[in-house]
Amino acid sequence: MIDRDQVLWEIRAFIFSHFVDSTRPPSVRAIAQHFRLSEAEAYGLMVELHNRHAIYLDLEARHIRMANPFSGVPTAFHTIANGRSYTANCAWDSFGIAAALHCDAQIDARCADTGEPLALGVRDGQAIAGQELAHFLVPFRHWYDDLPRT
Amino acid sequence: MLFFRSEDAVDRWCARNGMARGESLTITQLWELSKRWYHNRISPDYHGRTLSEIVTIFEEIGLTSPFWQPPKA
Repeated sequence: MIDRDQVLWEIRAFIFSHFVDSTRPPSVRAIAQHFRLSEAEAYGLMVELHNRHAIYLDLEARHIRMANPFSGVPTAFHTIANGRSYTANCAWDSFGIAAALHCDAQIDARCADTGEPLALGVRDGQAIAGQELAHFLVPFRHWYDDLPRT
Repeated sequence: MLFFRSEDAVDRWCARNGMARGESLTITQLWELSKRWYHNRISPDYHGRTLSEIVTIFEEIGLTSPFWQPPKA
């Protein structure tokens, strides 16, 4: 018998640690093996984390799509930090990765309107930017209606 | 959330994609939001935050318009 709540949060920590170390999400199998669970048990706990908004699963692919600020799928947002290239979910999470890792970062950014590259980043705890903007399309009250769109 | 060169670029993109305009943050505001939102995200002790805590974060960086108000209970 497992202590479900304790293992739940240990799995969350394992997922984030895996992203930090490898830039990628762990598979259901990797989580199951690490915690000596069946894959069904591991996935059940991952779904519980999804329902608590701790991670976001692709429920059809049974894959971690988001563990904000990290993305488990390819996107147009990349943050280079600590010698690794992380995939972010959006403009905000591009900076979120630098904030989560507490380090300098180079943000691989483009203007969504023109496609021109933007020189953004973080150095010595300060944002590097000119007049660029981040545009939030969806009001906060609707963020969790459709998180990938947000 | 997307990056833009300018407010004009936001307007053009919204018009071209048939989207109602949302709200823009400067990169300095975005970084301040990121620090408050994500500074403890990879800690094993982070188990989420309350709506009240979220609203406080928004208020700390001046995000007080209806756009940033929480869902009604």
